[in-house]
Amino acid sequence: MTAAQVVGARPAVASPAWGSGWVRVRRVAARWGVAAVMGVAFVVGLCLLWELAKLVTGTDDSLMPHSWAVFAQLGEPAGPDGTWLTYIAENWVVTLRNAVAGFLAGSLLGVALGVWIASNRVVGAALLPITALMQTIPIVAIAPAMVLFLGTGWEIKAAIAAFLTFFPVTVATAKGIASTSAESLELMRVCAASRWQTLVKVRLPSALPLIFVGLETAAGVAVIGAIVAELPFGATEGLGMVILTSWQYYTIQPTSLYLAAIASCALGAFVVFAVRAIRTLVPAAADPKGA
Amino acid sequence: MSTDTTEATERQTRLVGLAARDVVKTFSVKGKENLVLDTINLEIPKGEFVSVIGPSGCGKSTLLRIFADLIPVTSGTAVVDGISPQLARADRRLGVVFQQANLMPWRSVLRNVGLPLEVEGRGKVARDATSRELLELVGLAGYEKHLPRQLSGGMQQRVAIARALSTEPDVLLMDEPFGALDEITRERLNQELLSIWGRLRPTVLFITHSIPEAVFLSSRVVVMGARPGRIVDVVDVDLPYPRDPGARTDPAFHAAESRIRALLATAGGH
Ligand SMILES: Nc1ncnc2c1ncn2[C@@H]1O[C@H](COP(=O)(O)OP(=O)(O)OP(=O)(O)O)[C@@H](O)[C@H]1O
Ligand SMILES: [Mg+2]
Repeated sequence: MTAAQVVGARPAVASPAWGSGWVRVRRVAARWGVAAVMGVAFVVGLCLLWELAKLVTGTDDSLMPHSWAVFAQLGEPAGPDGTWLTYIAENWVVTLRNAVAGFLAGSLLGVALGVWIASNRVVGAALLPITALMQTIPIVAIAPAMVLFLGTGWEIKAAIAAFLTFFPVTVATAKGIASTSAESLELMRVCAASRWQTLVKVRLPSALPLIFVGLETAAGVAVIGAIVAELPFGATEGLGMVILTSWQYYTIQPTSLYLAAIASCALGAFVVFAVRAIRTLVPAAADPKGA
Repeated sequence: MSTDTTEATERQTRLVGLAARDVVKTFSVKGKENLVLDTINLEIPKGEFVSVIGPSGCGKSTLLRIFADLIPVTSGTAVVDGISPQLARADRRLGVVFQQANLMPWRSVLRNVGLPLEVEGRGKVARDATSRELLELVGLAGYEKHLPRQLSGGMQQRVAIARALSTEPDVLLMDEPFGALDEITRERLNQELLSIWGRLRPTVLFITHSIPEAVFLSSRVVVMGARPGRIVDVVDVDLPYPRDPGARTDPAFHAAESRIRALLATAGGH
């Protein structure tokens, strides 16, 4: 290319900014594909380590079953109708529902409270320490109290997940909004924008990268909360119940406890990854620091 | 020149574009009052292009921010388009271009240009049509769907100018809009800015550190001095509009340049 060509050419209109819906779908699909491959690789690697540890320490099968025995358990019958695979899957979905319901409720509440804290210095000074303190309350300690209010239905499990979700989202939202550049705010002021317009068009989009960091953290703890909530109350369904039951039968059948543990890990990974996938769909969120 | 007196009377009868009357601005830093603008008096008729030049820290941006109603005066009066800065801002008569393009990174170029119209409540169709026209005006047709980070600094600054023009402001305040650009791009954008100004005729207050830029663009150049920030003198540029690059070699251009340079030297370095 000659210099004249370089100078003369109006820079050709390069790639479009955010791509069509189809491009976005493909981007998300590719992400899930990569995640699935990495997940399988992770599990295989873990199994290899497990077997190595078992070999080196010479641990008995009743304490440390072979990794393949754990997966073989999936095909075995669990109860009168169905295998361990269906049994785990059913309870996995139950816990997923509780965690997601709690996560959504907690996130909404967290964003709303974060906005409030960021928009009002007095409210912020009063509420941020309180929310920080609330986070230090062990969930097993407040769970019984929550049963009293909410009963033993699935709502209480969702509520506990929501409780754990809401703190990181609140802090992330408040910090994100506070990080809005002064120049952007001045621009809105020059346009004579209302408070609401400034919030929706500038503050919240500016906060999105940080809000999503909070949401990812929250997604993990929401799952933990949902599982913990199924542990102590004689629950009849959910992964927490499976863990508790398998634990009681550990000496007879150690593989089922490991199966339940693996299913719990998979649930956490699934929810966290779903949040990441959503993030790739939101332009403002996928663009941290506006670089 | 024989038109001198008629021009002077015309200036007085025309409406006020921007005016500062005994404007004083102090900032208190750790309890200490810091005098930043000392009794600024300035009258700019509606539709005139005026530049402000002066050493760093002399209060140029502060003066602009007073006109933009981003900060209040300590005493004195500021007038924007015949009314107070507060009213002018509320009435959306202002367009401001800052030193940084300051685009919303998540918005496409088109939606960045249309932001002020969106705030105003204009419908999407009208908004996009206006934004497209303006992008063409600043030479960015075809970049509507791009994100700011896909553009060069000069292109981003042009988007910011298009955005400032979108509401057809009566007053355009520009704070070193081309400060970060190379000389060639800067001169091209100077030319573009003048032709836009010729078409829309807003009152322009243009802050710059470049003497040739100030002379080329404006009919008058306000020279400021520092500590405390004050107006040293106002230099008339005796060149007719429309101006083309040839104006840069005109003796009147050089005369204005050397006058400003001399004033800045006495104003305490640049
Ligand atoms: N918000 C503020 N609080 C305290 N002092 C300020 C504030 N804004 C500006 N100043 C002071 O006012 C003076 C003038 O600042 P200003 O930004 O107006 O200068 P300027 O002429 O635009 O300089 P430059 O050419 O470097 O942009 C500086 O000494 C600065 O320290
Ligand atoms: Mg400045």
